[in-house]
Amino acid sequence: MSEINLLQIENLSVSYRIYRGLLKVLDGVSLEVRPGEKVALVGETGCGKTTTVKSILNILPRQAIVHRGKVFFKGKDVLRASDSDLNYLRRREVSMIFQDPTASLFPIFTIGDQISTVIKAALSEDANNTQLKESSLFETALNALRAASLPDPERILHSYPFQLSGGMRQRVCIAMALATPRELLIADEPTTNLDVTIQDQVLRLISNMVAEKNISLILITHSLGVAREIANRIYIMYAGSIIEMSQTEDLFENPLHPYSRALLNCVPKLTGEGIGQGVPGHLPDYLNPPLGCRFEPRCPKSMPICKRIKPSLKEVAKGHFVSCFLYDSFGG
Amino acid sequence: MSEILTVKGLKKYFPIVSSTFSRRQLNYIKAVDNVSFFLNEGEILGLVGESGSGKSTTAYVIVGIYSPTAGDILFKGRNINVVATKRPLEVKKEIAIVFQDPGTSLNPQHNIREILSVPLKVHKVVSKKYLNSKIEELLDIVELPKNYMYKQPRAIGGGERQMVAIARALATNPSLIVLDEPTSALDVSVQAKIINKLLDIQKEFRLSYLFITHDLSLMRNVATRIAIMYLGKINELAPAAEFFQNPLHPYTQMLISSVPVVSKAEESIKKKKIISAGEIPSSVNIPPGCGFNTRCPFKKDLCFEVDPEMVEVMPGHYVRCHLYQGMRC
Repeated sequence: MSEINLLQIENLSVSYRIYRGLLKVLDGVSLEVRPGEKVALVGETGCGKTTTVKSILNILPRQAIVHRGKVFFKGKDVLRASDSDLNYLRRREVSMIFQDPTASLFPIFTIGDQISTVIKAALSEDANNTQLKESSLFETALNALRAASLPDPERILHSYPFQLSGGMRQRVCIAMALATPRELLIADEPTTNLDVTIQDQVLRLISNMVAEKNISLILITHSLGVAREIANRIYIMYAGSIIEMSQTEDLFENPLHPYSRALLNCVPKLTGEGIGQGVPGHLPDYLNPPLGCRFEPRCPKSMPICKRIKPSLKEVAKGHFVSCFLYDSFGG
Repeated sequence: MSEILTVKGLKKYFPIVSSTFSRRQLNYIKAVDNVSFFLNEGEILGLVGESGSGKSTTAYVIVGIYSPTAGDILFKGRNINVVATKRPLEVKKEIAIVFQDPGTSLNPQHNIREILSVPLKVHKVVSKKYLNSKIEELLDIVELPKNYMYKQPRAIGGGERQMVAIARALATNPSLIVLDEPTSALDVSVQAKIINKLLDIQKEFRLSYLFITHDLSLMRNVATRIAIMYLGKINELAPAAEFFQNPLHPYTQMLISSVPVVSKAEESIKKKKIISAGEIPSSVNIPPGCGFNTRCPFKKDLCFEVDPEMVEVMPGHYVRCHLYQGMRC
């Protein structure tokens, strides 16, 4: 199985050291991405989505402690890789788009400067590319902006981030992330700060570019609608664990985990059938998370066993995995 | 049903001055440009628009944070087109606002009791003796425990903070509450709780809401009528069901088709697919003619010359577009 996976995260547990103790955020996260696949990681604020993907690039903050688990990218263990391997990974193989394009662009350099830095870094190791010509650099940057369907790319190349609108800045970030060949794109809430018509355009752009270049995508989002629009397969995360995973269609037609159901029920629908009651309670305290299922304190179908034992992710129908004792008798 | 709020030809222009010290005006930002609508008693009007459309400015002018450049705001028949400081106290008491970000709209140095007691004291809602019991009552309405009274805003969650902001808005027994994106900073599960609470409160106290948001699918489930704003103007206004069944303005159609949805049933509503393109132009250099002409797929020469007028094409369904100018009902 693992041979065909581009990315494989196995049983990853990460904590953050703070003054009051250990925040046990990730608790046994497993996730895989096959070549050319578009995967979405959906969850609410503070459920550990960003921590999970930061481990892929090994850019976890210093307070983070990895207790258990491995992250394999093309068979290499990222968390134990050497600096030069990590450098290669970040420069050539994986790129990331962050939530806030304003914060991820340097305010005092022009867009052209910033894109060419990325291109230089990515191509510097190629033997035949040691002397990158200024003109070809310019041309590559221009093409990257064109590919992100930015109007008037020459002007944008010479502008500063503050001269562009939010939607354009995010397109620039996408152009930068995909200016050179990559194998995996991580998009961390790329459209959260954007208006709905701009969101639609940016999502379409990401989706098209990923398909065109045949690379894999991990999309992090808190919006089930956005995930449905883009992903082939969806992971739903709650309080540091994957609680459900399935093909996109399956998940929306037949959500299994009580949390997924509640979440789907809360989403306001265009058909206007009213809004669900929401999920009572709030996220568990990561300093002292529940022993068993982390959703148990909020779960409407909680059973005695849920308090004691953490359910594991089990396949209950073909390709549909859920971690809940309600479905223990299904499948195997 | 009587109109609680009538807005007529409301304009709010912000001058752009060349420097802080000179008063020379270079240009105007036309944040709100000739907006008219009314709000019935006990109704929820959704004012929807993208960022920069002027929806929040409209709300702020109505509650009196800004004074309008021109136009009338009639509240229960009384003209209140001035800033809040010049409004009579009994009118201010009747209009409340809930802001978008409860993290910044609640004083971080005060505890919840102090936050909630400000409007109660200013408007002399209760005597000092009953202050605590009134605050308990307010917390009870928004389902927060009594012991929250002595907590600081930072000690409670985002959703709970917004509940405190709602309780503060209810403190003076208003009849109109302006909700400025009250849930856009929150997760959907928290949003669901807050929206349901707001709807309960609205029914219980027979309130009118002016609900400012960018979320169309939320409005489908909340609003009685929906108005779409674009570049300081209302482009379309219709009852909620009609609005989604028969969206007329190209911008409305583009907005509806851009909404990410979670079911096939919803997709059928989106079927009139207008591919979204372009961005909202800056409100300093609004193009001549119709403001939407830079993005509209159906634009004609006329759209670059003349700004269309609002016409009522069906009872209660207003649209401002050259495509429907001949369809007056």
